[in-house]
Amino acid sequence: MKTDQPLIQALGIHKTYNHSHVPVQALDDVSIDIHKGEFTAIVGPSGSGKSTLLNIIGGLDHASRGKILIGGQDISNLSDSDLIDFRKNNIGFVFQSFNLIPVLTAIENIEFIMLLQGTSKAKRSKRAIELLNAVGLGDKLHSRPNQLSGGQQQRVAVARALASKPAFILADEPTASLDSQSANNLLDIMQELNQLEQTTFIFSTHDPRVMDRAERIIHLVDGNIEKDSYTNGNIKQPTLKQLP
Amino acid sequence: MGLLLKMAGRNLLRNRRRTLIATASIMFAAFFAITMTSIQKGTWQHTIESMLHNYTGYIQIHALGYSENQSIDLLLENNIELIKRIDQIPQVDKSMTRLENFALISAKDRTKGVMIVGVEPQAANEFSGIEAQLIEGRYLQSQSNDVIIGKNIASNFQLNVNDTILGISQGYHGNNAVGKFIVCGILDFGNPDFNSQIILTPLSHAQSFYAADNLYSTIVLSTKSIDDVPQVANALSQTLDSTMYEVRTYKEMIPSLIEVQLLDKASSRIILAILYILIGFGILGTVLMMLHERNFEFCVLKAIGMKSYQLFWMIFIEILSIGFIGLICGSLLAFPILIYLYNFPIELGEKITEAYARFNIVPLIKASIDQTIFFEQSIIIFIMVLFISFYPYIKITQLDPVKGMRQ
Ligand SMILES: Nc1ncnc2c1ncn2[C@@H]1O[C@H](COP(=O)(O)OP(=O)(O)OP(=O)(O)O)[C@@H](O)[C@H]1O
Ligand SMILES: [Mg+2]
Repeated sequence: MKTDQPLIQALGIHKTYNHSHVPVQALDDVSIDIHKGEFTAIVGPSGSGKSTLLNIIGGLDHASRGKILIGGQDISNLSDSDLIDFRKNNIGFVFQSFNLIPVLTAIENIEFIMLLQGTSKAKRSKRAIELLNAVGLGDKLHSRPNQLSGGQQQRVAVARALASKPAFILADEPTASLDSQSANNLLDIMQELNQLEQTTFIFSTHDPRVMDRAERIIHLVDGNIEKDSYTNGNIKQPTLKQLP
Repeated sequence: MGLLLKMAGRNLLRNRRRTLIATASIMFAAFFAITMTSIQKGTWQHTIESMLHNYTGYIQIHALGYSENQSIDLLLENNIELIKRIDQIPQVDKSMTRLENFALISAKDRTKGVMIVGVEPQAANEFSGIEAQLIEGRYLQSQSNDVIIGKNIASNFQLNVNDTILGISQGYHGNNAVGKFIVCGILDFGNPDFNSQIILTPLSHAQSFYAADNLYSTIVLSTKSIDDVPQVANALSQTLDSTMYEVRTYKEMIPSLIEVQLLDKASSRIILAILYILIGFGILGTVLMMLHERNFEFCVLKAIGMKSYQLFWMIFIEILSIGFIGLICGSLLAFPILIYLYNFPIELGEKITEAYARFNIVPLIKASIDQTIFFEQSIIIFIMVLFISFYPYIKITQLDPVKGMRQ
């Protein structure tokens, strides 16, 4: 299932925020490889650097030090405008909430990203319908976000993330604002897409109900990888720090 | 593009009250600007046109140099070809010829300097409606030695209809001009200067008096609309030999009135500029509020791959729509009022009417129906929208999705 060339390589990522007089070290020398088809959870306490790591992998933020290779391409030096194109064509994003354009219906929200990519009208609506069916919302094509529940909105967001045929999907706490049933439901769908289509998912969470569903769990503590394990118990990399 | 328009429309509907307030303020500005400009234009046009129809005409053609020293030696030869060519310019409405010169007149032991003007009786009457302004007597008959005199001349000399006047002046090329005229009518020109200075006589009689057979000093024109004057003047300068003729427009002939008009225009421009600036800031405020409310949405869009210019375009369409819906509503509101004022101008109170009567002008508040006023306002509103869009443009290019979504 896993090829030799990792899809994502983070090499010695450091991130320091200098906004206040006390610099905040959000990531401290983080290196990970993620392969195509993996279903990875990044977990850790609040402030441990999960969002920062996802943002840097997704090209939304720049590392203070270190490199990100996506499919072998170094994205650290891309201009802002090139990064936007890179994100549009390679990465699907799901955020914690309010992912959707409020004035567009479910199907229009999904078509929107394909419109940005320049996909033809006919292809757009065909794919949008397929995707909404895949996330179980075939009957909600023309509902606006405010007519959908939080869980349904997140499912539309997942469908939108898939629409652009990205190399992988980044989801920062996609279930944080959902009740546990909707959270499980969303994870079911993500897992199914992962298994059926080999879609690579990386999501962050501090919800124990959700992290168990991951195939690989990366534990972050204070900007360090404390533990990186597959759910079969196989510890992939020895962590730098000694476990207590 | 279709989706962007749809989004803009729905976003405008999303916060209806705000859209309504913003649109209404533009509508108000446009309504105010259009009505004000077009009433101002219409009223001035009416005033100037009435004034010019009294005597001056919209355009005058003379022999080169005439306007400088008004010499009786600088005359034009009667040239039917030339008149034909002038009448063929499509915007020309009426044309006529005149022979003007200063002369001394005496009657009943008194003497005075006046202008004895030869006119084509019928054409002059059609042009200025002289017959209707007669206080006494009758209108000129061609081929006679009739004269119509201004009412002040009549009172100075205590002249009545059928009295005789003697005229003496310099004629063409050093000839002596001496002649006898019979008063056939007394006229109120509606202008004190004209009333005490002008004597009208048939052109043929003036020509024989000034020994200037078949000659005249002036071709007087009116155009279909006063706005056509520059175009016609241009066409004339091109067809006429500039070494022989000079073309003067009303702007050169009544410069002080034109100056007053420009001053009036400038002051209303300032009022309108202030109005647009105030309303522009109001709209900018609404746009800032909108940007603030949708900050998160914009961050998500930028994160998933929408470029700054695409995002800006989306907002620009919204601001532009507000501007143009406002403009169209304002115009629709103004239109019936202007049509009404165009067809049924408002007459001013008696006092003002009396004051203006001196100038033989019925003072009217009239609107001008001129689509350039609408286009002018569209351009102003478009420029305003560009200015208002400048801030969102900066804001959006600087938008950082990570920071924006953390809040
Ligand atoms: N823009 C920023 N400016 C200053 N400090 C920041 C900024 N973004 C993150 N940080 C700090 O970096 C550290 C890591 O933040 P991050 O958001 O990555 O944590 P997290 O694991 O996602 O937390 P949570 O579970 O609460 O989402 C925190 O201490 C945070 O305060
Ligand atoms: Mg976070």
